[in-house]
Amino acid sequence: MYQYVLKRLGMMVFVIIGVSFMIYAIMDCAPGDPALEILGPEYTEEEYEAVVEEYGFADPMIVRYGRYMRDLCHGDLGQSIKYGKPVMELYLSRLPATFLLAFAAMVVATLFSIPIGIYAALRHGTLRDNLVSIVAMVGLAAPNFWVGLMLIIAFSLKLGWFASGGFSSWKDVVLPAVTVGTGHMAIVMRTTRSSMLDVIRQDYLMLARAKGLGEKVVIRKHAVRNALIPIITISGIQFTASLGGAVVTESVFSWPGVGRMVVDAIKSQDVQVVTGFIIMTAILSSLVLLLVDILYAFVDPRIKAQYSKD
Amino acid sequence: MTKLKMRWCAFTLAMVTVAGLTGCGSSSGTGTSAGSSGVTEVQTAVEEKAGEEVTGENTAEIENVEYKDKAVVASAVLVSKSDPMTTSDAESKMSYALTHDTLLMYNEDSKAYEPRLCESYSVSDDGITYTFNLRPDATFSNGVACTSQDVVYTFERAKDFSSVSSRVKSIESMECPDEHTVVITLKAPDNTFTSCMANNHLSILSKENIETMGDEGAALGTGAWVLNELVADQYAKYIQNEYYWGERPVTKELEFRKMTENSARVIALQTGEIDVCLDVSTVDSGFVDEDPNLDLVEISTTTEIKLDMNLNGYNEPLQDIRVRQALQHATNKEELMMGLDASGEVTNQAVPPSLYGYSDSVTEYEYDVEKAKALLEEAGYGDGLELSAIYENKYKSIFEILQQQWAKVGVTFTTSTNDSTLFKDYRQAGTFDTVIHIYNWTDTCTGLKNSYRSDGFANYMQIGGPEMDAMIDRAVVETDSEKLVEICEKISEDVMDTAATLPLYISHNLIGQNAKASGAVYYMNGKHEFTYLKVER
Repeated sequence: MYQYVLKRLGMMVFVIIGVSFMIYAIMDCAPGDPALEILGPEYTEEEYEAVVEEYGFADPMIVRYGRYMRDLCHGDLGQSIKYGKPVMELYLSRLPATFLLAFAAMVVATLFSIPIGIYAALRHGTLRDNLVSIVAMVGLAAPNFWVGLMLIIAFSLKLGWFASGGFSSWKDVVLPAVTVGTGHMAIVMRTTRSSMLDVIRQDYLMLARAKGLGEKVVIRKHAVRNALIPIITISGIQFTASLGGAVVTESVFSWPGVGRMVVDAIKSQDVQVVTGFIIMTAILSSLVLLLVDILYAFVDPRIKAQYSKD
Repeated sequence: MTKLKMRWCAFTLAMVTVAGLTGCGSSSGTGTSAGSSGVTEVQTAVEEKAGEEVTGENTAEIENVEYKDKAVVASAVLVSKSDPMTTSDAESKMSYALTHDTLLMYNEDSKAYEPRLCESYSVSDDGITYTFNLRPDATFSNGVACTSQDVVYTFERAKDFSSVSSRVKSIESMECPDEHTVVITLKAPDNTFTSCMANNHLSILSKENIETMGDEGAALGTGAWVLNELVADQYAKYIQNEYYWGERPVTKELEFRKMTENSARVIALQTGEIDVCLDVSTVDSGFVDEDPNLDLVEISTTTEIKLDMNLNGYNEPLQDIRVRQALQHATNKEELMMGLDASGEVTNQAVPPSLYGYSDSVTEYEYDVEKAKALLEEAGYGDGLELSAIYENKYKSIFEILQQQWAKVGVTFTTSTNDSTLFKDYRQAGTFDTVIHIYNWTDTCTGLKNSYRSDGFANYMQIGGPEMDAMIDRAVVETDSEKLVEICEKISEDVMDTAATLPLYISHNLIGQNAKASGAVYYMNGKHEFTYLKVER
């Protein structure tokens, strides 16, 4: 098991190199001029040349990338052109909000989607099952920005229950979490339903019933546990996607997360922030997926044995 | 009732109870009572300051009105750094206007530069020597007095910052005859120097503070407010400067909040979470206008949207003035405005109406399709003409409308590029027919220099030549204000006579504010001032 974990951690180095090079290359091709972002709308040619010289914007991409990797080896993600602060400091200041939103969204999603998915699977082919499928499809199809704005209009403007944006108290996470969770909910619900349908048809459940176990015990102790693997996988993937920043939701709710800052950094050609944030997100996502893999071992003893063999 | 149904009812009841309990304790904003003055006119803090004889006293005590302790302004952008010299972006200027002072400030009514940190200033007859008499009571927010040495230090420091260094390059020398007098000698007369003295990025900084605190000392200014907390990309919070030399604001705390989503910002205004919403979109303006608790303020700006035609010979037809005049006559600007659903006013001149240099004698090209066709026929392009444009993607709608309008006179208008990075490359290479772009005018002389002088960075049409350059150079050094206006108007007229620039419209800024808010000053150049923003309870 430990060797497996170490191997996965080692692979992250290649992830960092690949991600950073890709980002640098893409940002180099992206429209916009970082010097103009610093100078604003009023500038002279001399100021422009001076800024280009100072920040090294005229250097070839590979030279700038080499400088960046040299600093990265010392743990330095560089400094933001726009904010003048270390990228790591900016990232760590935004991470808690993103983490909270991702976690809250997963709680919202799993709290409703797993029970409803199980319910639908147990009533497969009935009207209730079809209703659940429709709700799941609507949840998948509804764009996040629309859901977010509708929630703001209903619960903030009309009812006055929540603030329309920002993060000044724990209550402010409710609407953004529901917005992000709606999309996750649909996917987890569908996965839960499919996974349960596969499991409830297995022979060992028939044997369990034949032994005299109650239906509730059969479903809870045998069916659900065996159906968990795909649910954990999809939940983990959804969580890592949220860690990258629910950009649209963060913009709608002015949520101070990672995603919004990355988008602003892309617009203002702040390459250091974009690269640093994406590298950190890639590392975090890799760690979360590693955690998901380790979780499998606790859910399914066969997988734990396989890890031990490896 | 079956057991399952009972369980579902109980579950539903529990969820509703939880939701209700969660909602009951919240208060999402301060409510505003009904009633609106429906005022859309701009209130000037300058007028309030000038009329107010009491200094350091809270005007609320005099007026017997209660005001909120905190006012919140929301915008899609936010100040990024606390040091005025480290960035030139427009959003930061509003912040520096709160915390710092410049020597001069621009008065849009009189179209002149007036003293701000100084009590008075004079310019020698040859336009080279400027003498500023500083306010003796000016103090930085940590109690350090502001002296003439601080002014000299500020401009010396500016030379080390690439974003502002060119603004002080015309200074030959600086002297401090006494603690409150600064004499600045220029290398040559320069009318753009006064606009530099009013530029927020040249706000006066404390030499003592920077020498003891490092660059963090640059965050301390002589303004009415002190930047208390700046969280990047989120908010900036200000508290009152206890040592402020002028009238103390009524509001105790000011917050600038970043909210990127337009609709969410307007909703926050409607719920009372914020008091001022900058950059209201035309789509959302109806909500603000219809709300009796809110006011919609429409401000004309100095941002000009235009199309310029390349005169460097790259496109042969465009070298013929009849072709250029035909394109002018083929453009229906009113229709363009309607099609864009933009907030603004049509303009037919090279200089915005709010600046001197706007002339009544400028040649205006009326929309006349037949005249356009006749001119093209005369120029030998009666069978049709192909032209292309470079523009940033955000101006695609303008391009599409012009494409449709010009098609009526036989002009096929296509896109060369709408990529921002290629924009400068095309311009430098001179390989384009026309360009759709904006220009933000700060003052007339700087605008003329940048837009119409042959080496101006915004001179996309590459108009100019010895005569035009000479006129612009004369304007820059002219010390007689009447002659200056005359020269600028002449330049404006000459530019429009070439028909190489097609001014389309001046954009308007829509701002939503709480009907009980007052004291904010909204400027055409977008550097709004919220020093005296206050909101009644």
